[in-house]
Amino acid sequence: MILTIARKELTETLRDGRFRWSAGIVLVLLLASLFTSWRYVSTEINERELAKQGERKRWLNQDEKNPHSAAHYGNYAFKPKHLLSTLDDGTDAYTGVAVLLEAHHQNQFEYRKAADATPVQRFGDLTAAVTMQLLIPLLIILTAFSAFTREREQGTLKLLMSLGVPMHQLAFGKLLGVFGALLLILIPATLIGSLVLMQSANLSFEPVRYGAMIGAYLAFFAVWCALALVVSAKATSSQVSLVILLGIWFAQSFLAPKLFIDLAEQRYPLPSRRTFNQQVRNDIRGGIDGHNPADKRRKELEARLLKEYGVDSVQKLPVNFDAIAMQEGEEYTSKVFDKHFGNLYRRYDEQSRFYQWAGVLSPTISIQMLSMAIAGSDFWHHRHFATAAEQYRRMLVKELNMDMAHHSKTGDWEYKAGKALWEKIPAFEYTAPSLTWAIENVAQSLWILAVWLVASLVGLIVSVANISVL
Amino acid sequence: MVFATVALYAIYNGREAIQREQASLLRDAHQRKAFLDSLEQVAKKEEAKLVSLQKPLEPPAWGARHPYFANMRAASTATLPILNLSALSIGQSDLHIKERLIRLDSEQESFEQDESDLRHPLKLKLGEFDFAFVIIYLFPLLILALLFSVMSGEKESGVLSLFGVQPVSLFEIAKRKLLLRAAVLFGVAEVLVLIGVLWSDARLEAGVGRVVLLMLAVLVYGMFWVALVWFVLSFGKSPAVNALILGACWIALLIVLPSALNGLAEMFYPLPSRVKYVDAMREASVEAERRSAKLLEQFYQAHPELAKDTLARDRDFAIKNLLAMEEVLKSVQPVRETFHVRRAQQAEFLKRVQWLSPAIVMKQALNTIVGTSEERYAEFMRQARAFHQQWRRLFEPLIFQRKAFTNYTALPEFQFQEEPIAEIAQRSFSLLMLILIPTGLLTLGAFIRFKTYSIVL
Repeated sequence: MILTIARKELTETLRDGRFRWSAGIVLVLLLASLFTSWRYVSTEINERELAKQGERKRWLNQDEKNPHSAAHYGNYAFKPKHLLSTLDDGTDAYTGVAVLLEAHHQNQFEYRKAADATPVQRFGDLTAAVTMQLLIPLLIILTAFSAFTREREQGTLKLLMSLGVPMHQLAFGKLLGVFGALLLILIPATLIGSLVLMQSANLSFEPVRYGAMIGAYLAFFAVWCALALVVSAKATSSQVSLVILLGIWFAQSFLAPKLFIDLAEQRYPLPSRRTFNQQVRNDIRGGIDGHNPADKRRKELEARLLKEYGVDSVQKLPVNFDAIAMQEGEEYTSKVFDKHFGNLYRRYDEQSRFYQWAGVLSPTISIQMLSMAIAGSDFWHHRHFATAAEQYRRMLVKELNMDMAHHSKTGDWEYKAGKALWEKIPAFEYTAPSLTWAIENVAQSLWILAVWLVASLVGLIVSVANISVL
Repeated sequence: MVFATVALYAIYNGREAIQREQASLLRDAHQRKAFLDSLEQVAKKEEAKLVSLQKPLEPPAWGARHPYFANMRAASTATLPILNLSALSIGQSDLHIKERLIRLDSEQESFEQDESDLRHPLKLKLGEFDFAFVIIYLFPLLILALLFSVMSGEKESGVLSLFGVQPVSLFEIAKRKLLLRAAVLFGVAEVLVLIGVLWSDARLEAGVGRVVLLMLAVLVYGMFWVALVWFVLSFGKSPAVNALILGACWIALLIVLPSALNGLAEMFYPLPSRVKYVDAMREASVEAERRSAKLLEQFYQAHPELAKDTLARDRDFAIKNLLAMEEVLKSVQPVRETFHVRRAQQAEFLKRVQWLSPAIVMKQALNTIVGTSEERYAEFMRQARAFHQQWRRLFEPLIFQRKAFTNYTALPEFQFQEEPIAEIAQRSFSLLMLILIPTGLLTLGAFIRFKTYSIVL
């Protein structure tokens, strides 16, 4: 019975010129955005890899110089781009691509793509994610808004009931029909998508992530199908059903995301960049607790070293006191950075958590978070890289300071290290986090979407159980 | 009601964002002056010490009188002031770098470096919930929702054919009903504009001219959507079909077209990768460092009068730095050049096609009027660059000639010259024309169709 109804629904949908046209447009947009972003992402992946190699080559081939000069010359780390960010660019355009790893500072990332773009980009990028989050729900609305209202308006609902068709079967048949119509676009899009992505020979196509993404979107579409049918079953006329659904769509896709990220920001405010930098500087100079200023720390270190080596002046130390003091300074600033960046990251997490809760009101928010996470383009992925880069920076600077400490005497800034030292320091190799890690960050959204799925299906059964025929 | 509430929230929200930005950009002129005075005091002390030791003052040793040192310590900033009115349309200004470091090496080091505020990147991606958003997205929806059934109701109930008997033209009936409802909506929108203006810029510091332009822009944008409804109605379809057509127009003009056009601009004129830029910059700086000894040699060959003092020659890392810097800038110039050319081409392309979507035009117009436009930002960059040149002209000759810097108290400060209102008005008018022309065409089309409107279905 369910299948018969589904087939009838599907045939009707396919005969509808409006559906054919809009489905065609959506498919074209989907493929066009897929292809253009793929071109951009694959060149970007290659260029970042090349730049990374170039940076390493420059590091190895640098002239002989004082290790501290080398520490200031530093190393640029280029954030690798996930191939799947072709589908969902996430926050990549707003987080910067490269960071200079050098002595003393935990630098911020430079060059955000969005800052280079025209104001028109703020209308939204043309990515597969936008098409799937905004346009496909519209297509679902278009297909399903009159599913029940039309039956009622034409009087066929009465007929169906008199035939003794169980209402929940009717509902699921219709659901299947609408979903089936949708699959006619999604299946070719998915296949072409995977073919395009697989073209990226050495650029690791991850079928598991791709599969997870398809799964997440299917659940999201199912929620919309059920939701549209619920409204159609309850609405008094097709026109009312359409207006209500469009209202819900607008509220979920435009108002809710903007509103809740704003509320998250107001609830968990961030310091201004200037305040943040000022606090970091103060803590480095005056000590984290405010009672341990930099010069006092240096004096203590001096006393300790003199005692340890049993000499009475830093000049007589067998090691370079300046280098050791610099390393001590590095370790102290690392603590300060950990404290402040830790606080900052916690704030961001609180904002993200708050925002994810809003998924209860708008499944668009949930799918957005999930989709970015799976595509590897969310803020957590960015921070994962930033943390790894910072670890590398600390290792790099430590190696250079210790070399200077053990191979030169205090006050000797003329000491020069060479290729042997540069080669001793390994290249920065970054391993991207796993899919499980990515999903764990947005577990909240995953659960909320699951609840939406169950709730909308239950809602569908309930709403047709006492459907009015007039 | 909902519309007004959302609009008021948006105004409040934009105002918060702008005040936050303004607070973070606030520079205390007195503090700056006190700081420069204290540097002058330090310099005087150092001088006194040299005099007491009977050492020469020039060439200056590394210290407060050394021009390179002075340039580093007294480094200036060029700040783009934010207008209070900007709260109504944030535009790209949340991504703009409104504060530029002015120092000899700043062009090399932080040319495009970000000093913008700490924000959740998702927030930036989703965009500001400001008044412009309400006007561009929600206002048309409201117009469509309230006007699309203005005609069809009467047609279905048969009252229309009754009207046909009366000596009033059908065109007149449609027009009056539509205009009445539209006038109410426009009234609400304009009142909201006024509230927005007074709430965010109570003292009208941005000038009355901008307020008038703002109200005009909202009116013109609203007129376009009313004309669109009117045109669609003139086909005499059922209300459901009208609703679908109008909804499709909204989606096409606000979502599909802007992102597609921007995508096309990026496809036709791709910006050279920033990664490549960093790469080139690093390569160039290694090269320049390697050649710095040679560069210095060449410099002294060209300026033999400066080469005599061998002690200073050994120490003259400042000259070496400047020469290396120039070298780096010269070699990354082509990458930069391509970048700016392509970026200009993107903007040019969008300018040529923006008439396709009045939403794009409206956004540009609002940004222009409230002072968050690309043009204003570009003007700031131009002025900041000019100020940087002035800074260089001040310090570089001193460094090259090894003269002491004695001018702390007379250092120039950057002051942004606001775009003249006439220019803003002119740019806004030409943008609004791009909305008025399709509005006129739609109205004309509707007029012609209404003449042949069928009374009986």
